[in-house]
Amino acid sequence: MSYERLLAIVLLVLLGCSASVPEAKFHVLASSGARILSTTGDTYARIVRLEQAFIVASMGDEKLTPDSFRPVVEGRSFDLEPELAFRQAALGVLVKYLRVLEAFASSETDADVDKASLELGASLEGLMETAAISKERGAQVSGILATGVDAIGREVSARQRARALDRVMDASQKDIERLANLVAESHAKLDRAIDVMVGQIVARANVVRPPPATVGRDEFYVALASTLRGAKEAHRALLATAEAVKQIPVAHAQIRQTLAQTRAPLDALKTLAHKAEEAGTFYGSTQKTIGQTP
Amino acid sequence: MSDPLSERLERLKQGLDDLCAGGAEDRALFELRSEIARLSLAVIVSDLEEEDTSYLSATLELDRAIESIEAAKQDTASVTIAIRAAATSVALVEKALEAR
Repeated sequence: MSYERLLAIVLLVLLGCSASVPEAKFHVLASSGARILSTTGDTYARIVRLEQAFIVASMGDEKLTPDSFRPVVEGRSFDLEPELAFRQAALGVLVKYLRVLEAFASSETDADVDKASLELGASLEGLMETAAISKERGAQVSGILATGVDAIGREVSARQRARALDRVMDASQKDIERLANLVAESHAKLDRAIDVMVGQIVARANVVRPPPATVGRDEFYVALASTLRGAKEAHRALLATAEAVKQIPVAHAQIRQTLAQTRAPLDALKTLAHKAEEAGTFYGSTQKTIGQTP
Repeated sequence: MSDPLSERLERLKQGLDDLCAGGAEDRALFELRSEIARLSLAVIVSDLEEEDTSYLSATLELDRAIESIEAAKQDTASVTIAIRAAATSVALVEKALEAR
């Protein structure tokens, strides 16, 4: 058997048992996370606008001061905005982690390996020529060698990536679960906050609504209806994003399993992608309706 | 839930029930309801604040995970470095042969 043929067989064997990193799955995971983050950002912005309406709707009759509209009662803050910003930032870290995983799982490093292997091939060809091996045979052998090095390099790099992914994903699993549970708990509390704010806005509307059968009353109702619709959408979006976020650790664990198995179920990833899409469909034509509060 | 805040809220709610039973005027009832709504929101904010430490700890761990992925990228790059080093060595041998 010729040297070239032997090398070619070794290459085929190497490629046949190469370590595979499920890049597409990491992409779906990261994209779903980004979608959930975007919907959560929209929802939190609505809650902030609802809070502004609530501050006005819960004003007492006392004399106004520059501090009258501060979200403080009996020395205690009832401002949701800093808590929302904090949660959005935490969710942002989770999405960043998923993006970094996605980038690491991708085979972009293979391009560097390819380039280095080409350099090696060119150097080998030059060496063979110098060593007085015929140009044609030198090019043939150096080409095969470079391809071999390329395949080995890719394989080593893929195995390193797979091992690193195993390690990092195992270490992060619990924190992702913790974060998903925290988001679900926070959203349940924010849901209560929406109920409190809506209740007050409606109570106030009953007190201050313009006289019946006037244009003023119709306009007032249009604005109030818009506010209530926005609050309802925010309520539904809170539930949907909490459900979607809870799927992230499930999908993360399932992808981690696929690193060790060639064929593994993808149910969790499909559910996550579906829920992330669902959560993203709340906001369309009704964007920025909460701001038009009476 | 913050206890003093919750207790205060419960007292105000009791006060509201008493006012309703006593037939207080609408304006007084509205003022008290507004106060209760604001305090209810303050209790929720306080509940949310209690979660902050757990959020922080989970995100710090994820930050560490991101750092270790960055470090692993360097390890992967070492494969390319090794192949480049081999190419350089071959080129040097070639030059040495030429010089003979």
